[in-house]
Amino acid sequence: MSNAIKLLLINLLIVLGATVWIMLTPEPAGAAGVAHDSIPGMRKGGDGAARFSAIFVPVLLLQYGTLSAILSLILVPLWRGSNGTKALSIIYSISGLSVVVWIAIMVTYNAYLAGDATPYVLGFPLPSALTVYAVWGVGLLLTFFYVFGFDKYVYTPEDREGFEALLKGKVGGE
Amino acid sequence: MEELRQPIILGSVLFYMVLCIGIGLWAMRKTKSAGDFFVAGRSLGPIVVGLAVFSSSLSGFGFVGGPGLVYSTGLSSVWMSTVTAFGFAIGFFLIAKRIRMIAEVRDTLSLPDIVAARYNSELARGLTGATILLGVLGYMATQILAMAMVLKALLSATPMFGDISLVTCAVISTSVLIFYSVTGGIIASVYTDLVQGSIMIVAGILVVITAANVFDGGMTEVSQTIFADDPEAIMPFGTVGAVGVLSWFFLFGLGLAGQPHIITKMMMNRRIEDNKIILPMSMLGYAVAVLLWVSVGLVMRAVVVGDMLTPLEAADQAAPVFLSEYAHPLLAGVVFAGLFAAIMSTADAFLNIGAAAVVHDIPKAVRGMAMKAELTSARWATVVISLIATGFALYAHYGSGQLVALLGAFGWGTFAAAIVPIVVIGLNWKRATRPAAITAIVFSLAINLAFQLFGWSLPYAMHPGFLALLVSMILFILVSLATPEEKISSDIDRIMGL
Repeated sequence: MSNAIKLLLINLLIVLGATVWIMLTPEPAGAAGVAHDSIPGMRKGGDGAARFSAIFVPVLLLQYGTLSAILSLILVPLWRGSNGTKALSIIYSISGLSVVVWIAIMVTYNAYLAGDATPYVLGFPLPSALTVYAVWGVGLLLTFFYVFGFDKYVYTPEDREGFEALLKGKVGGE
Repeated sequence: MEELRQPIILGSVLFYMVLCIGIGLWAMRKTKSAGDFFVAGRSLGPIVVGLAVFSSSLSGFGFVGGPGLVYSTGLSSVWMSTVTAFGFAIGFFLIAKRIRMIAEVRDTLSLPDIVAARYNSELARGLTGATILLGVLGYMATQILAMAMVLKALLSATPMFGDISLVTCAVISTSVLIFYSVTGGIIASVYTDLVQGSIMIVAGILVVITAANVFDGGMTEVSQTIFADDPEAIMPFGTVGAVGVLSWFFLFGLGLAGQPHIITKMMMNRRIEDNKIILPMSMLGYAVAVLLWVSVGLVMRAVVVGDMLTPLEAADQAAPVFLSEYAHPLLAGVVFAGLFAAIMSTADAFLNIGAAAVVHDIPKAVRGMAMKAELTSARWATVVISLIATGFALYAHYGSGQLVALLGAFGWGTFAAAIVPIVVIGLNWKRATRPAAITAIVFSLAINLAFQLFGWSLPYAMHPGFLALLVSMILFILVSLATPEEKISSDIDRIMGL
């Protein structure tokens, strides 16, 4: 089994474990929100601390497993050849940055739950601003990596030669 | 200008529909074979494919359902949108190159062709084709119903068409869709997508600017107003909570690369190198649409909880009411045309892959060959699928919605659970086997169908599609490891090594 698939499987099993843990944890009232008391069709989140405290650890595991599963899937095609190591280090850096952003979201959100004042950044409370801008922004780094690393990591001159040779031979589907 | 609001909106929608018909007529002359009809002869430029990928991935949901979801649940659905940055990247890193290569080497017309080539399995081809066809009928029905309802809302506000029925509106909108899809196949589809994508981007930018100016204090005042009513609504996980939104993040992050109408477009570009332009183009379009989705939803929630507007009758009215209350009539016209564009661009993509399943994939799996006179058959199949989907849509509205709901179970979540393992992992891992592919497809269908049939739900608002995708990916890897290694066709083997 390739290392990338091994890593993917481990991360998927972490997600599965966290999911089972959460499913076995009794659901507090309003865990997924409640109907708004005066506005039909609208929902409220209610007491954030109450609905979050019982599942804090499995949610962290679920976050870590989900993010790692997504990023380890991207590693699968990059885990090859001499350029592979550089590509892996770039993906690891993006993964590290993602983890930092997610930790920042959880730390600032927990500070709010603990009663701290929440500053507003670019139109949103800080933990939400991190969600809206930083999660998206880190994901966008993958697009930059794809665009600027295309010839080096995705479709190399060797790949091009190999494909052209295949087209010349056009082996067919035996 | 205000008294001209309705004529401007109707005129914009009419102009857009006439434009689609014109593109259909133009594309008809370019469509000479089944290859042209289904994959545009693999001759499209990067901007066309980029906008087609973006516009077909964002259906009417982005313009109606998305703002409605933000109005109803606060920031929760932001996770569905931020994760697309990862979802698009997965699709391009893992499969865009290989799918384009296989399409050229094997002259494939559809995703089931790719699956059959990878696994040397007609059963895998047939199951993938059947899954796509069922999903397409469900998707098409919802898109047609959405088009008909929007058109009825627009026309019934005028004195001349005050009594127009939903059936008439369904006939009008479906006729336009059928016309350009039948005459021009995927060529008409992607060039209308080009127009549709451009309209959606322009509409998105203008709406975001309008939304940011509804409150004097901009988005900060919007957030503060929502916070004063219910702080959780404007916090990172919204009202749905952390577990529900993380299940969306997993499903939409990994599942985007498993949507057949998006993957099929990866076969159509002229050169593999074009992918480095297609990805950022798709991302740019999606980012603008997401800004519209989030900003309109939040502004509408703020004006309602802030007692500036009476509560909406339904959450899905968030965008239409926003346009009627706050948008300039010209902008409302562009956005309503954009709304039709969003719905039609998804519908025509599904129509095309559904027709491929009927005339190409399923017959090939069953009797070893596609239907005769494939181009003519494809045009007839397009008409028949549209008519059946229109029937489902109207039945869902006037009778029971259960049938469409059931077919909907074969939609997004099932595509993700069935196709991500067998295509996204399978094209990058030579150890993946045929039994594993069939197991993944069967389990993804079974899990999604069971949740619909028995009305099950998961605790903490977890999405059933998340569970189906997770189980299907794990099973795919484990079954592959538990079954004997298989020989891959030499051409596919070489492509998987590139």
